[in-house]
Amino acid sequence: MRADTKDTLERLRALFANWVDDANTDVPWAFSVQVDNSRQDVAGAAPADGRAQTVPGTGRGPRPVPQLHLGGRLFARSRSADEIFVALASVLGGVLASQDTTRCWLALRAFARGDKAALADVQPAVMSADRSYARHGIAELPTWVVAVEPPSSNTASATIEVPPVLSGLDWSGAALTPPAANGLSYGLAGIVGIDPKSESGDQQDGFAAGPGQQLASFGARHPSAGWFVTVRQLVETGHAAFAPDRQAARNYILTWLEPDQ
Amino acid sequence: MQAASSNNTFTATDSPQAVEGIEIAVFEGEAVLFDERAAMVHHLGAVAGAAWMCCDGDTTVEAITAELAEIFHTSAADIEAAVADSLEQFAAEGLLVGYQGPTRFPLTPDPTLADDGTEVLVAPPDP
Repeated sequence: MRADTKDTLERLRALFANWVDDANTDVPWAFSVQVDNSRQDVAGAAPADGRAQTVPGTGRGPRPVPQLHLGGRLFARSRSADEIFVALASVLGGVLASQDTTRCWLALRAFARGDKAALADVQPAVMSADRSYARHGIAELPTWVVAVEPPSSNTASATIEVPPVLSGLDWSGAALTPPAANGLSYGLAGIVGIDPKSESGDQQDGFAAGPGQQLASFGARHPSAGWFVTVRQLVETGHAAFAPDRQAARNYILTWLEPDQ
Repeated sequence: MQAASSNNTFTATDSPQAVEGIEIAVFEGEAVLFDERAAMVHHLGAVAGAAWMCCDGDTTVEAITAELAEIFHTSAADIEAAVADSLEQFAAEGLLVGYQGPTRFPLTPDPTLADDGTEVLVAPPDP
């Protein structure tokens, strides 16, 4: 992990004390944690040993919002620094949980409202940090992966489960409030993707993926009969779609997560 | 077991049979097959989808062609090539009994191990 300040690094070490391994110092960082909004990172490559290099902020311009990056991807962004630590613990919990190959894990973005969630098969750069969701009471779940349980005789619709945060963390040592210990389950309300580009690279006008193409495209994301059945039900009930742009994709999610849907 | 190739053609009296365990979803004008053995999803057009439904091991190629000609309101001569092409594709993907699909080698890099032998997730792939 790469931290923006020494204080952040110490907090990370406290939280993940039971997991830290200082024996191997040649592991390049994969996560970047920035929670101190009063400082700016030094430009250039991050040091491999995880120690932060900073310069004092100039005091002018907007302050950076605490955020978590996974490689080049903005994974979580919040005005609460504590939520960034929770997001990191959630991501690592998902990395660990997804080692269970008996379950159907998918790396799709999940948006939840109440006990329902919708999945988005879109690149992060297209839909990251969309604050309009919050106005509708919808939150993007900061999770690495979700587990999908297909519909069965006991459940009319598929469900998704967000894996629990990484176990064995010292929340009190990092001055943090531990989140729910168990994973959260949601009814799967729909799945949306962004229209693919034509072979010429231009966005197709009037692109409308039929149900078969929807099922084939989404179904190919995971080679399991359970996922195929799940997507098939979503397609047949009109809860699968390809949107022409991010705004249209957002509208699908807002519709599917309406309280009376 | 035969390896499907462009040189293999079905005769009019052959009765192609779909392998077991293929999930199918049928929509108007298209169909989707899921082959869990090969972890493959196949999106079929109208003719290919209809041809697949006829691969029951009892219906000859000639009968399939005649049936599809009636379904699509055309002549057997006009739809024969499309039927033959569909059957060739099914055979090439190992979806028909007696035909072996392509051999696929999933790329799995050697894991980096920590001192205690557990695998180190050095840089999780960007989902």
